[in-house]
Amino acid sequence: MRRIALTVNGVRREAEVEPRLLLVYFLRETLGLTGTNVGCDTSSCGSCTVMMDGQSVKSCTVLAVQADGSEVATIEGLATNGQLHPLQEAFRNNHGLQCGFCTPGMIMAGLGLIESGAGMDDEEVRLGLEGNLCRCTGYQNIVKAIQEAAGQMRQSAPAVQGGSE
Amino acid sequence: MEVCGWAPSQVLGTLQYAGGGWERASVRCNPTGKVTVVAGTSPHGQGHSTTFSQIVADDLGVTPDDVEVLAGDTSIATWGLDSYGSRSLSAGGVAIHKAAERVREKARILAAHELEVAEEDLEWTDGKFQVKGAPDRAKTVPELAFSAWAAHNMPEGVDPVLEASAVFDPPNWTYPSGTHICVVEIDPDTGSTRIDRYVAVDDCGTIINPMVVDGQVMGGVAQGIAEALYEEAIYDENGTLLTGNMSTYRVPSAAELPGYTLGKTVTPSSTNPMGVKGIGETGTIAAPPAVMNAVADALRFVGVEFIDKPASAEKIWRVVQQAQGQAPPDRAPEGGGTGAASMTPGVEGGAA
Amino acid sequence: MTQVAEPEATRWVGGGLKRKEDPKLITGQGRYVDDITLPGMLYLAFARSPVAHANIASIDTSAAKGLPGVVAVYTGPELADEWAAAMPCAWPVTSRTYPGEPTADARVPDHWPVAKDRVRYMGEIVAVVVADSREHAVDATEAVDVDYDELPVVDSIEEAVADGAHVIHEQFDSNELYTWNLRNGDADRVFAEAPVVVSERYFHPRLIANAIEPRGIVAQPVPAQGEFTVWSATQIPHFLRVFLTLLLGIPETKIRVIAPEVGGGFGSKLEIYAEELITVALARKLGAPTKWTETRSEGYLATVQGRGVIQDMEVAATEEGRLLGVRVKLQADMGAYASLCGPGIPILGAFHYHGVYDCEAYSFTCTSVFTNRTPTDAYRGAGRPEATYATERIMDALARRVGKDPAEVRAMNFIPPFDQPRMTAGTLEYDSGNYGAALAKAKELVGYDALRREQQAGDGGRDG
Repeated sequence: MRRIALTVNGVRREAEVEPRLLLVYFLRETLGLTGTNVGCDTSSCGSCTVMMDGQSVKSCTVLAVQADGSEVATIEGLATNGQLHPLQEAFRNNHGLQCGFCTPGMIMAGLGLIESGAGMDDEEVRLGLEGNLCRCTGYQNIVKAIQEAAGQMRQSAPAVQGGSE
Repeated sequence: MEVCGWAPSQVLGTLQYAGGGWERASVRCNPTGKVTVVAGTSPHGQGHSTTFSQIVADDLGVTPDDVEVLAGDTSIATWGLDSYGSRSLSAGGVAIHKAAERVREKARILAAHELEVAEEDLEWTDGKFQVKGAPDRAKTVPELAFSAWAAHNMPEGVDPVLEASAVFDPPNWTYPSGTHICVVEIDPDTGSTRIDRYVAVDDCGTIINPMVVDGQVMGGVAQGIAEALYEEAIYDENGTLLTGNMSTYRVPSAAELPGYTLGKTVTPSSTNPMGVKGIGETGTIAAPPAVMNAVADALRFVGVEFIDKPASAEKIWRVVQQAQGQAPPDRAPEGGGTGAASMTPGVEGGAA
Repeated sequence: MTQVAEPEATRWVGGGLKRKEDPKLITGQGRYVDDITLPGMLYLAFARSPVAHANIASIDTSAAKGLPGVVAVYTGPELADEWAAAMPCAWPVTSRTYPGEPTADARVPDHWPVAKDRVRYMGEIVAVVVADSREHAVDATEAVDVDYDELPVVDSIEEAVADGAHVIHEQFDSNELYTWNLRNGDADRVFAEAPVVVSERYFHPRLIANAIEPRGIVAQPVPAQGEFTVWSATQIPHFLRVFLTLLLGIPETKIRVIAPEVGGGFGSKLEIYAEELITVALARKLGAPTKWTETRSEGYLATVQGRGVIQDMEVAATEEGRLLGVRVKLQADMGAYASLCGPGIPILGAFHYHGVYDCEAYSFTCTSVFTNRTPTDAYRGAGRPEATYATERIMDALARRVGKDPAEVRAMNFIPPFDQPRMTAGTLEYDSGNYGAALAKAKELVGYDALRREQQAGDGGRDG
């Protein structure tokens, strides 16, 4: 067992974990943050996407021990003071979800794209979402949702171009 | 076209299916004005809570936010035949509508009684019962729900509480239809296909929520395009599944799929009073032949007589090579090479 | 938009109301079955056959039982007493023939949740591990030691129907489940006399539904009352309840089945699965809550697959391209066992291989067979995509044959607009239709005429 300490959604968390424990299971089972989902076992689907130290990552490809000392943001941490994040609003406005299972990962991937300064035309967004699979929506509304949110977010706080760290 | 709205129970019996095709719903007007709908269908992403609320909101003069839809729990929705075969609206939604109509019928009797007029002197306008010629004398369904719950002044022969249930056994299937047109561009050197344009015009009869309908079409089309170009479960001669996980079986991402242009025509169904047909399976039914016909149409310009799905890049490249008299060498199976794909014949046939 | 049959105007129906389901889903508050944790919960994992067809010569679970956290390991024979009946087929299609032709009973072989002495597809369950954590359960499945005596593998439809084919279910004399026929009019005569006959063969490979949520189930017993609450990622909670009663012998009034938030199905969660039955049976046996969640690659073998059909499709027509008859022969791959609805899936398409087109004669025949592969069942459209695929591809082929534009040939053959039930060539009464309107609109939206001109004028451009 190894001791880790990290910040999750702004709260400091400490735990003893097995070295083989994946971050996604740490979030879901140790911390009870079940919003992040497991959809596959080959890192293909992206349902497990979270933000880690400012970048979107598939939490099934990260060991909990690797997240020691990191800042992790999950879907549960997006809304602040009951106010939905622009991405959440945009997904709802644009019917960007149906069963909702891929949605937390999609939203976090969208957040990662927008905050990295990525271009927001159709092709750029679609390419940026290559790692996130959805079986319900056919993606068109997801793309629109991310574009709409980007428009709002970049208007209110001009993005630092190429600012992924 | 499709055959949907599973289904007339008697017909299912003749087809040797063990179950029925009816659907049941109940609509309950709670004393403080909210409405509870219990549906026998079982959603898994289709937005029933939303669309069923819209139906009941119109039927009872409330808002969708006033309506709660319960489903998927056998202790709450005690009767039901669940969701598949595009039946939730055309069987389930119709049952809900019938139940709501029965609620309104009972409410009409109560309204007449409370307003001390004959039922014929009432009209249902703007979501309430109004006395004809005296619109300020009116009753809403939520008001009547409270009266029926307090039950201080019930008409002769009418029981307290305002609720009703209904079962709908469809007299026929429903038959959504439409036309999808796909435009592709193929690079013969790599075999890769790019969908330039995808147009889907669908007719699902009466539309409850066009946003939900569009979502269902797009999701189905995505799966249908994937079936045409990308997906194939490949077994070898030992019965081993070679495409055994998400990295070897191609479920497409947004990067591999196009945008869609959607249109509608509306031809109400004669099967049910709402005229609804269902839309859930449209995309997967229409897209595979639309895409494959486009691919086939394109490839005839390079002498390819026939091609079947999935029209993967490798397959297209091979048939183009063959058609141009350059038989490609045998190689290890991947995505349907010789010897590995159990479904594909050695020679792609098709006598025309 | 056409009026709904209501005297008053609609206010909400017909409008794009934002979804009421979304607020909890976009905030990660949706509760899917894998999100459910109960005190004292035990986790299940399954040892599965790595081979497609074999006798189980021996199975040794002693090593698995000794691993950390393992509560129990069960084989097929050890669980035999749990089942009041074998796994269900709700659509046991029998051969359907015409007067004078031989008929046959439904051929539904016994199918048990855990294989007893033989496996018939790669992925079939051979042992169940119950442990205190998911990891411990999975670790122990790898320690289950099974000796397989491999048998010949029937790996395709062609192999299943071949002369001298190895018969998978020895209680029957062949791998055939049924042959089902539908005829309307005299197709043989029409085809013999028609000036134009177009034939093509289409393959529909098996598909994996890949709903993004893997399957899963949690069963919570109240042992003293013999009651069970079951959460399952299922499309059919009502059916699951009925079959839990029939297969486990638990009174219906003692079972509550809940489909919580379910992450897509597309037909793949329209099934009564071995894993569901086993999870509830072990909750009963052990008197403790039990849980199982599928891994994605496990699901590729364990979850029903879609399609798996070979079609020989033919149309008879005039030189102008007017349809006279449709004749289609199907061969359908059922997999190793008769699934819940699998045998009926081809039948769902049987009646409309003529699509939205009119014709005089119609003939459909389907032979369904067993193979040593995962059972097939419904996948979005279930039988109808297969039918429409064949119809629409052959219409294009017909158009090429008579030298006309594919849209023109379709328009020529459409059933004219109707709003009341109308009998069609496949003996279904379609409810209403205005097929020309959708075609016209689609052509307009895509710029069809301009595209065709561009295609003709250019280098062919490989544009389709």
